[in-house]
Amino acid sequence: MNTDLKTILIVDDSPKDVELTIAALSEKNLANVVVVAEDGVEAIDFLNKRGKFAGYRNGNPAVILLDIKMPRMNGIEVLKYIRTDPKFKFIPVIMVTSSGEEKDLVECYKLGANSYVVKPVDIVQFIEAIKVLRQYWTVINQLPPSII
Amino acid sequence: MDDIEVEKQKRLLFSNHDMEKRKKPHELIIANRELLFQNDEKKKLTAELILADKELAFQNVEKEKRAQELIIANKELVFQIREKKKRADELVIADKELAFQKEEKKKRAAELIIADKELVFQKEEKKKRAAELIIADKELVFQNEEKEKRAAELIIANKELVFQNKEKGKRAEELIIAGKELTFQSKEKENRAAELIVANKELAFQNREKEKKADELIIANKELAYQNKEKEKRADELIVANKELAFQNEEKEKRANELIIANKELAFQNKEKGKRAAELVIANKELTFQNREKEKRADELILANKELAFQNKVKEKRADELIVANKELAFQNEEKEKRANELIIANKELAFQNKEKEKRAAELVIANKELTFQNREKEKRADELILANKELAFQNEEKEKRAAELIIANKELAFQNKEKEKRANELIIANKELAFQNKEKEKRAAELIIANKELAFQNVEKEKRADELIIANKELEAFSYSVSHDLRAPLRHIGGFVDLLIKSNSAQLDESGLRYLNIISESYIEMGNLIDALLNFSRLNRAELQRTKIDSKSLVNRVLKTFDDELVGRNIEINISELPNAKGDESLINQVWVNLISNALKYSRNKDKAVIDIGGKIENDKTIFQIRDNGTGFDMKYADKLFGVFQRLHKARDFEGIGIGLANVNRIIMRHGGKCWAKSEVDKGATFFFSIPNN
Repeated sequence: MNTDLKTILIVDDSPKDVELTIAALSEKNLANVVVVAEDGVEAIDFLNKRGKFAGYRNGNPAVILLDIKMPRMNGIEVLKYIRTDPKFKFIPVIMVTSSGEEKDLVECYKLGANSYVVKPVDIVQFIEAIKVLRQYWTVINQLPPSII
Repeated sequence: MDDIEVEKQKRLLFSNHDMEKRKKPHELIIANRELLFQNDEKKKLTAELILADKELAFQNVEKEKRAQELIIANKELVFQIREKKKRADELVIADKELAFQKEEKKKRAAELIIADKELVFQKEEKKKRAAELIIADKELVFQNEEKEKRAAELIIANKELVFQNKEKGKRAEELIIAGKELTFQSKEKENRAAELIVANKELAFQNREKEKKADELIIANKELAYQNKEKEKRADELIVANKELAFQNEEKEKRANELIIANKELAFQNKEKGKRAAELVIANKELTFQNREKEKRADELILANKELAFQNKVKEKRADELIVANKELAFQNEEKEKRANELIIANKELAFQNKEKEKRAAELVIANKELTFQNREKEKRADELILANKELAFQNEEKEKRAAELIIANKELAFQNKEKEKRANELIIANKELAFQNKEKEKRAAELIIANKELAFQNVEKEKRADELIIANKELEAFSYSVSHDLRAPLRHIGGFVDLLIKSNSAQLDESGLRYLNIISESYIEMGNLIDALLNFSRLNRAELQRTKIDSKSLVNRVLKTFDDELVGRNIEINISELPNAKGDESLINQVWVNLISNALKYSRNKDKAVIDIGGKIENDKTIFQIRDNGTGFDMKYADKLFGVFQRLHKARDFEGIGIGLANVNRIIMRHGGKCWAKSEVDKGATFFFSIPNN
């Protein structure tokens, strides 16, 4: 597995969930450069390198772990933004959901999410999701069609 | 007398003073006598005073009686006052009744308003009928005018007949005068001949008039025939209208099966039929009236015919009289001839008058020739008269025949009118029955309308309840969604950090500390399972059933395949006998099989060889499936707890599980309209049954 991932952007409003996620990623030393945005607005600020993240230099993240339920701007709206902006629409997005039967997942796939993990994120799930990404990138190099 | 005696007493008393003055003995004697007399009168006075006292006492007694009567009267007054109070109370009650009656009057007033509206409607209908009556009246007026014309004509004919009779009387008198006078015989014969000519002209005129009357009778008969045709047309129209009514009644019975729309149409048609029935009644009344009029006309015709016959007889009599007159004329002519011969003989005897007599004789001969010529002409005319009378007699016979035919025709008309009246009466009875049936149908229609209103009301209430149920379901959905997310988050944190603690800080913990943390971690997982199970159970109750045909055999085989991992290392024999197809929600029935097979495998773990039999059969209107294992079984004493939520009949350390599997099965099967039950013996295994209706 390719371990020289660049930045991982975690978008989640619950600090405890973020800590658990980072702890899980740390098991395999994948938490090299992790950026945390606490809601959708901060996520977009990071992507555009403005606001809190004005001086950031590392470019686009390698993958975004996107929580769905957040204040101000929720995960689905962020996903829409990402997939419509030409600068960011190729960034892989893994949705993070509290239960696997989320109805919203269908809509997320329609909007172009690549995969999903269930909270609490554990390393096994994460690796399986990355594998999916890898397969996806080797097959096509553009927006995925609607996946139901 | 009492006053006189009182005064006497007074005088006597006063005269006592004179006693001393009177000293003479005779005056004393007189005084004594006067004293005796005064004493007697005093005794009388005292007796009278006693009487007066008795009377006073008597009056007092009477006053006491009157006083008692007054007391009684007062008691009666008191009693009357009480009665008046009672009456006052009764008046109050009566006032309440009046108020109640006023309310009822108000209700009646409302009903009257409704009745007034109906009256207005009926008045409108009456106006329509009045218009129709006006038209009928105009027709009647026209017929009456025609009758009057005919009556006037008949009167004229009668007047002419009377005039003829008078003239004939005159003729008879003139014939008698002619018989008496001989010198005026030629003039009288001329007069008679002239009169005969006049009589013949008049007869000719009468015959023309008779012909006119006969023509009018023919016209009247034609009109009767035409009216009869019109009656037949109306009767046919009535029959057609009745057929239409019958047909409409059949249609009404068909439509009565439909609901509100059909009832409205019935009410509307009933109104129209009422109108038509009224019109039919009016037409029938007109028919009966016209029939009566026709009978009157027929009677008049019969009377006219009788008069004609009578006139003909009178004319025959006159003809006979004319024949007799002609015979008398002939006889007189014979006598005249005899006298002429006698005159010729007289001429022969008288010589010196021969010239004059010859002249006279020649003149007489010429006159006689003229007389004979005239007589021949008269005979000719008499023959012509006889012929004319024969022709008249023949015509009268023909008229009598026609009159007889007319009488027969009138009898037939009368008979037909009676039959038509019978049919009209039958139609009226049929219309009354129709009206009654229509009223009953209106009642049923009103009952149906009321029933429909109640049904509509019940439907509205059911819709309200359905809406309430939908709202309750939505609230449940929101509740379970909230549980699913908000309960899980802290649970997740507990589990995640405990795991971190175990992984990263295990070196600092001793054995019991690690054990505690593991217990906490297991509890977190268990709680998550419980939450999932509860949410799933709740969702089962709300999910929509999608009924399809289920191939039970392939479904069971697929489920068994998912348990392949568990079968590794165990000695399990699974027998699947006949499994009929069922109708239900495939995913839910899949859950049923998963739970039952999982239980069968779990609770037979204690046996060296597990034997599981799966089968099913169709019974009447449902399909019953069963699964039997030879495992640890359960005590039937606790069978009613089998399908309870989180209810277990075994200890968790013997057989794991939270006790939601059978509850899910029961909930799913009940939603399909079926039932679950089980039989078992401890340590000898258990058989679980469930039934699904076949629909």
